[in-house]
Amino acid sequence: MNVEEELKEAMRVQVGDVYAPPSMGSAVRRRRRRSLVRFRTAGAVLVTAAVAVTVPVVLTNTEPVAGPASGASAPAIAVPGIVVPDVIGMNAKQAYHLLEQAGLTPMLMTPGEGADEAGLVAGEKVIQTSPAAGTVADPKALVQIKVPWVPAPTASPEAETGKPVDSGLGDLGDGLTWMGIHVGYLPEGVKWSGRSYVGGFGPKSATVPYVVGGLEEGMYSVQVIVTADQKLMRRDGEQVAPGTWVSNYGEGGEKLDFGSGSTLTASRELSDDQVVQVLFSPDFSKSLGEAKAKEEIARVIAGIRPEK
Amino acid sequence: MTDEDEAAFDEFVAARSTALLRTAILVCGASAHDAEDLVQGALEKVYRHWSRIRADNPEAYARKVVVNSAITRSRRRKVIQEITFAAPPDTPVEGPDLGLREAMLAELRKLPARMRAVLVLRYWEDQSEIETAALLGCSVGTVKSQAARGLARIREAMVEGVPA
Repeated sequence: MNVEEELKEAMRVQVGDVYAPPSMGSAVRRRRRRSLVRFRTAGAVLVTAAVAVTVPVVLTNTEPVAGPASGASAPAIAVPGIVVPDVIGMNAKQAYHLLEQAGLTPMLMTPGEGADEAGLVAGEKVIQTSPAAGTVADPKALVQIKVPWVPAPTASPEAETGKPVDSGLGDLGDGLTWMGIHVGYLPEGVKWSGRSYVGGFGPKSATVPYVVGGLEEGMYSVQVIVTADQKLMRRDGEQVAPGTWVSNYGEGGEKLDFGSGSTLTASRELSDDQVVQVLFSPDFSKSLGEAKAKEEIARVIAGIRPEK
Repeated sequence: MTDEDEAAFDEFVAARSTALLRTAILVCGASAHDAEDLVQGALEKVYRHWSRIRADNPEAYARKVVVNSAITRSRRRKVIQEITFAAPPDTPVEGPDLGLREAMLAELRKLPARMRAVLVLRYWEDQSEIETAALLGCSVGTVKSQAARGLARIREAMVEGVPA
């Protein structure tokens, strides 16, 4: 084996088992968009977890080296089309491997992605592929892998009806007083977006996005969430005031450093049964800079008071 | 951006992000997590200009952004490493159990970022010399010489490194 081949093989061994999380697309958008339902994130993360569980023995033993992502291996050139192999019933990761080796481009579908309802993986066995097994596809053609999923459970029965509804709270006037709270301070230039959403964050929850001028529809700069769900109360950040913590979180709720890809988040216990959370979009935080953004988010959350 | 654009972007990300991620890991020598961040950043650039570039080979555009930011990041890492380990032992203690492949990868990581990018694009991604030159914004001659020198250095290290 020459150095080129040996190097190729070494590279394959290093990254052949790495897969992009299926939530990548939504993660990219989320950098600029408000999050409507945090539990949806949980769904996406679960998919990654579910497929990462086992690499079946069968696969680790089959060593025929397919070219990296290119499908440029010999059989792919010899035949004009590739018959989609039957992967139904296989573990999702196994199926991914197999389709890749066949010279196709597998695509793991995230449950509920693009749909109104979030979903959770209910199993890791493939139930369907599109196109179906036996179809002749072009080399590198996209094959969707689907695993069973169920609608994401909401935090309590109360929230069952809590599908986020546009303008869920109606006309809020200046948009500063809602759900028993008053937002007393917002950074300069930030105004109510005219929208509000009910129920996306557990029982008795609502969220209102605020925007700086000129932002596209669907984006947010500052988002305030009120909920009775204690799960939103994150105490693992830097404590900036009594009962108030600030940190940066990633797509799956994991703690990250300040920067694009993480959302600056402040949580505060407003009362025994009410938690408020303030999020600064990655773009907005970036425009302020780390120090200023942290100072401003602390001011926003400190300015929120219960309104009877 | 229309709904159709959005759907096409989703499809593009689902189909290409694994390949981009693997390339990013190889070029910048970072962990999968760091590389993910890098790919996300690159895809965000793609998303921003999606309606303009979707018809015009978005994959090449995304790959270009990924490779170039991986080179930048890997240079920055190198500076940090050099500061942190001011006087590392010149010959790291290579246990006899260190396999040939791992030794090769270690050698690959020691190459200058751009040279490494050439090797990754040529031998991992199977890009032609012309494509590689276009992606890195250099001449075909540079690709040829960088690939030859990179391979030579790895080969040399392999010959020396093979335990007697």
